[in-house]
Amino acid sequence: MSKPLLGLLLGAVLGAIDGLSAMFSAPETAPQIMGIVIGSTFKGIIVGALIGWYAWRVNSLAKGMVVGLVVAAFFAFLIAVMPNEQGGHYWLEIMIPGSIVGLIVGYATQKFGKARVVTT
Amino acid sequence: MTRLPDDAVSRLREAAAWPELPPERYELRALIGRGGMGAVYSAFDRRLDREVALKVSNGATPASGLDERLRREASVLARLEHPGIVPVHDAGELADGRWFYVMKLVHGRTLTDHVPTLSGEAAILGVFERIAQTVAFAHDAGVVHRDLKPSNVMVGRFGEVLVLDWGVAKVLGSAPVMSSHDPSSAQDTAAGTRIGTPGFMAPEQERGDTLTATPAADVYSLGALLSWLLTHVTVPVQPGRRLRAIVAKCLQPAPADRYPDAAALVSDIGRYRAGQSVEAHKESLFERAWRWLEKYRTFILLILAYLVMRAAFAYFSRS
Amino acid sequence: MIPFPATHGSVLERIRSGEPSVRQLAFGDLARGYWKPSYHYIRLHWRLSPEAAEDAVQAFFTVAFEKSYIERYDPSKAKFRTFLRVCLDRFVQNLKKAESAERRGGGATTLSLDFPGAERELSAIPAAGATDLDRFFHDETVRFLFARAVESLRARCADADRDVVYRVFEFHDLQPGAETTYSTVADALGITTSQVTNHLHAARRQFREIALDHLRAISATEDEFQREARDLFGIDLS
Repeated sequence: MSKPLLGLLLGAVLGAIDGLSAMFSAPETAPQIMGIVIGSTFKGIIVGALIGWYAWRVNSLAKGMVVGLVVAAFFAFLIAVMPNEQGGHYWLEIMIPGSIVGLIVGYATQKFGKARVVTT
Repeated sequence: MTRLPDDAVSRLREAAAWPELPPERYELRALIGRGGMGAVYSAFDRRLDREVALKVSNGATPASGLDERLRREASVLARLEHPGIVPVHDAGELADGRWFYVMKLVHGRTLTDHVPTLSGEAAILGVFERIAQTVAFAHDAGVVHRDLKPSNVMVGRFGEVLVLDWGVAKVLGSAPVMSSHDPSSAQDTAAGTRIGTPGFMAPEQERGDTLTATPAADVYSLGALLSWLLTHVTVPVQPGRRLRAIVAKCLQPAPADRYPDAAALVSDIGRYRAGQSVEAHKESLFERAWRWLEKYRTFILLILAYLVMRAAFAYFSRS
Repeated sequence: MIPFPATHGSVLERIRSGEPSVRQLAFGDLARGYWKPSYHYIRLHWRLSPEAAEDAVQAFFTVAFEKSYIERYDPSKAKFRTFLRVCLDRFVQNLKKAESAERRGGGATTLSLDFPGAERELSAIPAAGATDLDRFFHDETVRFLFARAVESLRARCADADRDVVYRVFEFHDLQPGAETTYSTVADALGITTSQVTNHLHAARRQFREIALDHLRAISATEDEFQREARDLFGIDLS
């Protein structure tokens, strides 16, 4: 399995888990849970694919994890910046787990998955 | 008659053994080392403008058989073109009848001197795998080394690993053992000649059973070499069960119970390093699961940490 | 120059042969090969005067011939040089006890030996040179063997009207300077560099042959000869 594909799949799974966990950390969001899960999964796919693509190009565990963290944090910010129904924000509940997902996907795509074959 | 000073005596000893080379091609520089079969000198190849090493037979007369053995060594090396084997550039006969061959001059140190700089199982296996790959190549070309040991492995300045001293190598399926034109084979047949080094040679070599030299004998030596590496680094490595099984398989007394050749050993080492199951050890279900957990340990821990954090968030949000 | 007889077989074989003339020649070879190291050894280790040491050396080889010392040598017990040195030690010990030199017997070859020359060489030997007796005796034997081989080479080249070959050897291998190269030797002797190369190779080849011949003449057994040859020149004669 290539690194971008691995990142995409892992991002999707972790994104879905992330979305589902909103039912426990923010029970008031239960009516919108399907939308949250779909949105979170989609975010996870994009973040995972980007991190996987980076891992495909650059072979460095440290860099991969940092890039994963930053990319995931950015996209998590884009979600967290949107106000809830009460006008508040779920900064911590969205950004911290979202960033950690990026860290995990960054690690996994650096360690596993098929690297790019450079031919001359 | 004047008294010869010590330095004159030393010069005369070296001068008397100095090879007479074609001066227009090679300029001899210095004696590097001397072994049972020959001496190795550093030299300069004037035609190609490069440093080379020269191995000259010790044999004072053709009857000694050493010239023939050196010629065979050169022939074996010439047919083995591999990054782990020193290439032969030239060969010939000196004016006094001794045989010589010219090879690449390697700057480096033997494994004996290199091993204190190695640290950890990964570094050891990195070096060992390259040795085994070189020997696997030789086996594929029908050549058995028969004298693998730390002092016959050199690590170059740039980390390249070279297997040296193919002087007692056996070409499988070569001239009949009883050939009168092959003094070394005549020596092999002579009352169980032992070829190899104690501690690294296979039991069949210890018994002098050189007629049945097979790649499995080299596998034994490789196993002894790996065991030596694991115990002679600065901080000895305690190998896990699978690596111990690989070493044990190499060191089986019966050749049929070992890896058939170095290529099979290389494959198993590769599988071991990749965290996969190895041929030398039949895993139980528990061992397989544990190995899988070990292999993906960090990733699993990260996922668990994430889930624990998620659960903590959920708990604190509710409370 | 002392005529050098042809040698066939080891010293022990020839001494033990039934032929008196062969035995005598073998003893001559032995004396020629070991008299100087023995003299230096006795002077440094036993501290005999030059005259007493000279008498002791002459007497030792004579008595060794008459009383068949050498025939008692057992190769499985020690090296021949060690055996010889121990015989020499015992001989000198007995001499000192008797405080008189053994009379030289009849029937032995009396060799004309350059004891004054050997005495002059003593000044070049470090005072502490005899701390390892075996090593000292070995080194002196090798040194003398080489010196004789060099002398034989010189004579051989002179006889063949090829003095230049010896001179190249002398310049390059015997007494080189810090900057000695083939070119400097060629310039000094008025020959070409390739002639220097060829002459040097020829001289070295002959030196090796002569030295091996001398070595064989003073080796007790063929095995010892091969061991010594390997030790001296790193070549295998088996």
